[in-house]
Amino acid sequence: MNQLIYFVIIGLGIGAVYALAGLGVVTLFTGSGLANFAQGDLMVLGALVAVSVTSAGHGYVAGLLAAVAVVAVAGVLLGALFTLPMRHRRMDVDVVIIGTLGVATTMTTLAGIWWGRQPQRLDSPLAGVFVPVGEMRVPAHYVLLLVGAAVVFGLVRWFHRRTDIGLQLRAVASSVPAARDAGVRIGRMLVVAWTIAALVGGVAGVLVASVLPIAPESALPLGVNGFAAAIIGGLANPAGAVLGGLVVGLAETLAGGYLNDTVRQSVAPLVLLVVLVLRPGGLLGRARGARTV
Amino acid sequence: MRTRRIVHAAIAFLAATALAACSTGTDSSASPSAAPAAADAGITIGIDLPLTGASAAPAENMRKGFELRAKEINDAGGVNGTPIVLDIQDDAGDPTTGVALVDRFAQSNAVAIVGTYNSPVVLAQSEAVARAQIPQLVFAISSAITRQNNPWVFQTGPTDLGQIDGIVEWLKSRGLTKPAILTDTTAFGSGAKPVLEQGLTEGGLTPVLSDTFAVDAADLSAVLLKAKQSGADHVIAWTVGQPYATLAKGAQQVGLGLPIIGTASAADPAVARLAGDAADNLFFQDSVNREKPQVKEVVERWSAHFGGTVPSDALVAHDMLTVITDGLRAVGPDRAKLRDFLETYRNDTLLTGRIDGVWQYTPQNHVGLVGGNLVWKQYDKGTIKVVDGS
Repeated sequence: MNQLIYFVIIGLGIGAVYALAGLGVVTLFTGSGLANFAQGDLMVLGALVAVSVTSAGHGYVAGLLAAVAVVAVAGVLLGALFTLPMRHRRMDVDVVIIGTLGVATTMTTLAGIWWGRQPQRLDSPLAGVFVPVGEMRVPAHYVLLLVGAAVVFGLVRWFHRRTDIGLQLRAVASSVPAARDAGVRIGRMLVVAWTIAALVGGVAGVLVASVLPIAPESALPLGVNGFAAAIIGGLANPAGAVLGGLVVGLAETLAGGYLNDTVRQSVAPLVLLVVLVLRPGGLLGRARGARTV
Repeated sequence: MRTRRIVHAAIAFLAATALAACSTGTDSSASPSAAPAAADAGITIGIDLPLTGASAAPAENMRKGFELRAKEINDAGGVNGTPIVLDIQDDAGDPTTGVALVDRFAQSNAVAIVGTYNSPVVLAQSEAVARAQIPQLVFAISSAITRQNNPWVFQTGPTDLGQIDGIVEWLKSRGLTKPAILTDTTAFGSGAKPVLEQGLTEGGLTPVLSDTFAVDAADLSAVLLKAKQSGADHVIAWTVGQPYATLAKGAQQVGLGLPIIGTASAADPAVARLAGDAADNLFFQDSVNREKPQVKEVVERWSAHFGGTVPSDALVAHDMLTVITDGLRAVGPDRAKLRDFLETYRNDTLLTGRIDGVWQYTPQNHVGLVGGNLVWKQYDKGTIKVVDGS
C-alpha cells in the first residue's frame, strides 16, 4: 500500500511538470488562438536565468523574480515579432506556427552559447525536506510542484475570466474579425497573450528545474510534453492542461513502477491516441462528432 | 476550426520529433579519397562530436580538450613545423549525419578523423571510413566496434567488455554476487544490455534483475525500488553522464542502501553538481588518475585556459589528439602510413590509464587501453575520491 501511495505522489508530481508545460501552451491558445512550439524554450530560459541568479549567491525568490522579468521581456519581444509584421496581412496562423519552430531552434542555440550544454538543477527551497511514505521518502518539492501548478492554473483562469483584458483575449482567440469589429486592439492583445504565456512558462521552468536537470536541449521534451498534456486535456481549457498532465504523469509512473520502462514510455502516446479517437476535443474540450464519409 | 488546425500541427510536431528520434544510419555513396598532402594552412584533422543532442555536455568537454591540446601543439611549433587545424563538426549523435561527415572529412583532405562519442554512429560510419581509407580514432566503447575488425578504426578503450571484466573482478573482491542491471533505453544502453548480461553471467555473477530506464525521466525511483526488492546486493547502471544524478536521487528516495556501479561517464561533473550527497554510493571506473604528474600539469593549463575542474572526457580528448599528432610526426600527413603507424603505437606517458598504464595498439588489437587499466573511484560528499588506483 505504501508503494502505491509513493507512486501516486511521485506520479502527480511528474504530472504537475507536464501540467505546467501544458498550461503555457493553453494560455497562449486561449489568449490568441495561436500555438507556440517555443514554449519549452521559454521554460528553459526561466530555469537557466534562475539558476544563474541563485548560483551568484542570491536566493530562490530572487531567482524566480529574475526569471519572471527576463521571460516577460522575451514574451513581449516574441509577441511583437509575430504581431507587428502581420498587421497589414491580418492574421496568418500557419506562418506563426512555423515561425515559432524557428524561434525554438534559435532560442535553444542561443541558450547553448550563453549557458553551455551542461544540465543545471535549481536548489529547491525545500531541498532536504522529504515526505515519508513507509521506508520511502518523497522530496517535498513534488508537493510544491502540485501547489505551483494549482496556483498558476488559478491565476490564468482568474485572469481570463475576471479581467477586462482577459475578456478581450478570449474574444481575439474566438474570432479576430469579430473582436476587431468590437473595438479590441488586436495587436496589443496578442502581445499581452504572448507575455502572459511566457510568464507561465518562466514560472513553470523555475519550478520544474528543481526536479529535472535543465539544459538547452530540455526545451524539446518539455514542449512535447506540454503539447501532449494540452491536447489530452483540451487545448482550449487551462483545466484540461492540468488534468491531461496529471493523467499522463500518474499513468506513466504506475506503468513504470508495476510494469516496465518500455510500457511507461508508451503510455503518453497511447493516452493521446485514445483521447484523440474518443474525444478529439480533449478530455475537457467540446465533444465533436466523428467525421463520416 | 483553428483548434483542429493547431491540434494537427501539434501532432505533426510530435510525430516529427518521434521520427527524428528513430532515425537510422544509411550507406554512404562516398568514393575512396586519395591520401592528402599537407595544406599550406596546416594539417587538417577532422573532429567528429555530438555537440548537440543527448551527448552534448560530454562532447563539449571533449571539444575543449581538443582545442586545448591543439593550442599546446601549435604553440610548440606544430607538427614538424606545420600547424594542425581542427575541423570540428557536429554529428548530433545521429548515424546518418555521422556518415555524411566521413564524406566531408575524406573530401576536405583531413588526414584522420578523431571521434565520435556514440557507438551507433561509429558502427554506421565504419563502411564509409573503410571506403575512404581514412584512419579514425574513436571514443565510443562498444565491443561491437571491435568485432567489426575495421582496419581503419581504432578505439581509445577500454571497451564495454573491458569495463565489465574490471567490474566482475572488483565485485568478486568485495564478495558482491547478485547484480541488478539497469541500462538506459538509448542505443548506448540497449547495445550494452546483452553484453552486460553475458559478461556478468560468464564471470559467475548471474543478474537477479535486468531492467531499463529513460535518460530524460524526471524520477527513476520506481526502477530502483524494483532493484531493491529483487534481492540484489548491488546495482550496475549503464548510461552516460547526468542520468547518474537522477539515479542517485532516486536511490536516496527509496532508501536503496546498495552500491551503484556506473560507467566511466559517471565522472561527469554534472553528477556531483546535480546529486550532491545523494551520489555517495556511486562507484565507477575512470580512465584518469589525477595523481599522475602529467595530469596535474594539464589540470593547471586547463584552469588557466577555461577555469574550473577539467572533466575526464577532456583529458581523453587531449590524449586522442596526442596519439594522432605523434603519428603525424613519425610518418607525415599520409592516411595509410598513419594507419600503419597506429598499429605499432605504444605510449606509457599519456594522461589516461593507471599510473604506469600503457596505451598499445597492434595489428590484432585496435583498443588502446585494455580492461583492468582503469581507476576505481567513488563519490564522497559530492566530490570524487580514488578507491583503488593501484
